[in-house]
Amino acid sequence: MSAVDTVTLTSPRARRRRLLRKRFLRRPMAVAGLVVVLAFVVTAIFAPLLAPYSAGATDFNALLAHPSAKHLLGTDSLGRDVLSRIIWGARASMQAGFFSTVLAILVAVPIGMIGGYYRGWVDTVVARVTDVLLAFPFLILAVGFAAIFGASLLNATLALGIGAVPGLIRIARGETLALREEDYIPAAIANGAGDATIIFKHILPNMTSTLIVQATVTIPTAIVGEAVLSFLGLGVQPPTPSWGTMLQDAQSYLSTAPRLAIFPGLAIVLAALAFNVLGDGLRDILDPRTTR
Amino acid sequence: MGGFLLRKTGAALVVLWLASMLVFVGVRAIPGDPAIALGAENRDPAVIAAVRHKYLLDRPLPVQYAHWVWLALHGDLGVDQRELSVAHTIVTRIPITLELAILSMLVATLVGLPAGVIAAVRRGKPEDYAATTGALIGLSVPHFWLGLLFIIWFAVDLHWLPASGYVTLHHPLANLEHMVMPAIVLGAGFAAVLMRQMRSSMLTSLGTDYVRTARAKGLSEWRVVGHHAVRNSLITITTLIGLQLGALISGAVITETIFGIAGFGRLTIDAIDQRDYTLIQGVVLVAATGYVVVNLLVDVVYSLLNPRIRVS
Repeated sequence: MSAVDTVTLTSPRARRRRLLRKRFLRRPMAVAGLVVVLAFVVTAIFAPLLAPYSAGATDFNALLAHPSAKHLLGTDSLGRDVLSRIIWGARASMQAGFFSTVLAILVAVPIGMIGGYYRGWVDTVVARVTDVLLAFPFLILAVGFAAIFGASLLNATLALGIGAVPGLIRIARGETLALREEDYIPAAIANGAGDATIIFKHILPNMTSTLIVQATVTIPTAIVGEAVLSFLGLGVQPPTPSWGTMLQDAQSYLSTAPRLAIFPGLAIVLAALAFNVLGDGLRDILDPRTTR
Repeated sequence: MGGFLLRKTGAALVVLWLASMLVFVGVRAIPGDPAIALGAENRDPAVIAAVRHKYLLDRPLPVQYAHWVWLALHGDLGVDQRELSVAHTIVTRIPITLELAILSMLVATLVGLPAGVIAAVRRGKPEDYAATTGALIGLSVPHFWLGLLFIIWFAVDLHWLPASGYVTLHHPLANLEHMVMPAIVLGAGFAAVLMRQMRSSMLTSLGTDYVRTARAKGLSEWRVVGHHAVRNSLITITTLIGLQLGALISGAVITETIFGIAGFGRLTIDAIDQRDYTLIQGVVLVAATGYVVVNLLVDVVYSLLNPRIRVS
């Protein structure tokens, strides 16, 4: 296998990669989505350098100030710069989005694969546990989680990750069930491959594209989820900035300063939209079933 | 059919049983002593011991669980911190959330299904792009933000609709006035999901042999789409509605919080805020039961619509 890898450009893998890149670049929406996603990631990482003010800096001479050269998006009721808080808030959103998705994949994929690979009673147990988890609306699960372990970004991220687990188990299980029937599996068995080799070397690599697409659509759900939980007071705790807590604060000023509710919301929509557009584009180029 | 029903019902009962245990254990994992919470201000050890005895909190967990399930099966979910019947509170709140759910489903269906059909029939045309873009935005805009925007526009700026509150169905007009915004807010995301699903299953249906046959027979395009393609696409939509119920309950929690509607969703948040153990237990159990029952119904309807399922 490794001998094939080193023969670059002409190897089928390199050719496939080139083909995918070409197909991706032909989709302006997907490219735009990727650019915006990267912009948000960079914003989150370099928030201290990019934000004009620190997240907690108050300017008591400019309470609820309108947008101006000094405060591009105005200030909130404590005179804090809205733009800076949105930039800092990107951290909570990106953290919740990425880590909860990674967590969900790490938990769900092995479980789903084991169920789909071994079938029989193992599969039945996996299917029932998934059904039980699905029977709890995500928000009730998250709210209960916050009640038991306390409200924080970490706990919100864990709850969002757990909330995404049952859906991902179903997907991993379905994919494994289908991939198991491929001809290369009996071939591998004939070559003396054990269960672990088949699962990790033959099935897992073949479902990566599905998993990548699922990850890109799980992240925006988690970003919105973090905002919802923080909005309800169950996620990021003030004074740490988060788009959700900013919207919660804005609720008291809907008639006097509606812009406080508009800007953080736009940030959420833009981030979620970018990930969704990117996910749609990736699905189109990676999933052979929808390739036209 | 009988065997299929029996198997599905059996599986649903197992799920419910596991869910009830999870609720029971989960509630007991919440920090704080329920006996102290139930004893309210009274910190007298004798009172707390009496409370503990009254609510069986001094008995082993399996006994408590069995007792709770036994009473729940008889429609008794215990009393909350204010000594009110939990079952009664839930029963009074459910119709409000049910109304919200039905209205938002109505909004979603009226917008999502036609949009999906049009997008599929006019694939690649401006109508398709408009519908697809609309759905993408609908998926990315969080309900609670849309709710805030609606309040700013329609209640604060235009004074068209009340910003919050709920009026009973005895005053249908006032009731509708209060429910319009929440129903649209909750329905928007679901409309987007429906539209996308409808579009993709319509595209599949339109490519099948029976649609080609129908066209070859010289049926009008209207009849081909309406009678053959749409009907078959509706099968997938049925399952989707069941799967979306969980999202709908989550959405109702947020929507009811924003618009100040005292429904089932709001009750959930309040129960947890007040650390009212019996109430939390009852609310979550009822929500999970609702989800399991609806999905069982969906499975049954699905098998009626698509006989192939019953065999596998």
